[in-house]
Amino acid sequence: MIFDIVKYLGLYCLLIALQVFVISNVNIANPVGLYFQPQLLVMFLLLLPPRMSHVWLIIVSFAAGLILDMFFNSMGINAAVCTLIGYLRYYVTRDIEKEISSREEDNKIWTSKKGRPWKWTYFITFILLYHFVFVMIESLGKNFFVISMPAVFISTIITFIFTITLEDLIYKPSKS
Amino acid sequence: MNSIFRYLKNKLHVLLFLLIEIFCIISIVRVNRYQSAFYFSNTRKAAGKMLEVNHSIFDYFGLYQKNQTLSNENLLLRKQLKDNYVIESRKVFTVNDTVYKQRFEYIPAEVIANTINLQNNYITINRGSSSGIEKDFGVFSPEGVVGRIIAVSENYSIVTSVLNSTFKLGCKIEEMNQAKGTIHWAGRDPNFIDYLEVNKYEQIKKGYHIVSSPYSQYLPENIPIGVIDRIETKPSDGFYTIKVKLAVNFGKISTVYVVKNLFNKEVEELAKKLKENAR
Repeated sequence: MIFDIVKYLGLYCLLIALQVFVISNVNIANPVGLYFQPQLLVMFLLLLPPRMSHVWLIIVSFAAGLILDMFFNSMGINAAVCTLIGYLRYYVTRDIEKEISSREEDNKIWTSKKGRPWKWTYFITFILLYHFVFVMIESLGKNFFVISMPAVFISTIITFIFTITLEDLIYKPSKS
Repeated sequence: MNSIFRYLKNKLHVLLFLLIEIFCIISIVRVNRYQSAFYFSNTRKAAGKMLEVNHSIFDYFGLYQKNQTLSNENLLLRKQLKDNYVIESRKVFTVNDTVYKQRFEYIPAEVIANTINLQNNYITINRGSSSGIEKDFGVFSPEGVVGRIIAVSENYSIVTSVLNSTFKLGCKIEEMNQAKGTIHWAGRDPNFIDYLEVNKYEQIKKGYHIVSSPYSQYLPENIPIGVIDRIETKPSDGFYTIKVKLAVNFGKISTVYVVKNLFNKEVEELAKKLKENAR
């Protein structure tokens, strides 16, 4: 239990550090003028254990978003989106524990136990939702098709690639 | 009771989610400038529309009083018509029309929201920048001085009422024909206002009429403010403590006129030049 908490805290700190010190400082040459801002925190919300109760999931998501908001001085935006993701995620993952607990593949993270198609759909759906709501609150629908939607899609793709890569790096199955 | 608790316990996650989201939305609107501007401009528009509908309904019931006010004003204006006067002097004057240049322009407006019970009261009127209204224009009603424009949107304006602790106006005592002192509302009774900075060596009496000063840049001269109701002197103070009964009943105010001073910009530019030269 304590090991799990430390593990997730470590992941959270890593993602916050990457977001604050790397992503927000990267100024990629952007000749077409497309705006994007990948939000890596969504990975933390998606990897939280499925056995967490709904109330705790909401509280942890809210706290995670609120702390990120403090770094970016965007009081409430990330917190609102994280809470929404935490609230909705429960309905997708609440039954997963029963389905995967019978399998003895403990060296794998729970997201990988239902197969790649499920995992990819799960990640893409929530990452897309996170960025869509985030950009909508931030831009309030201004230049929806020209700036907002391309920003959502580009950020989603980057975050998805990052999530898959980092997940593989951290939770690599041990070769035994 | 138990079933209510059980129901709430079952729905705790929904309640928690809604509470957190409400908290987040309030934070977003309060802290983030862009979202705050978007929220306030839209809610102000919606509130303005609602107030206008509300006003159009309740305005109907105040028509009798409004007619009375207008007919009184008509009477006053009729009295000032040229036909009512006889020429006493037989001298003939040739007057060049260009001698008189219009100084003030008036824009009629309806009050759609008004408060009188706060420390700082504001009035919302249904005319805005589309009618040529700008910040700092004066406002008066047929009864007297109402206030000054503080904020303008396309179709609405907010007026700092005389019943506002930040409002000050230079005055004139009609009977003495002398510009003296300023008015300031202490925030207690909406029918009375303090008349300040009048030296206690002035010979003023109860019942004297206080009107707007000729030196005001945003109101014409002689707009009624009120009548002196109480005069007190304190040995320690060099000024009178005067209470003036306001001419305007702010609780029933409905039609107002916004005053545009056509020379104001010229005066402002002159003052600006003076400041620049002084540096």
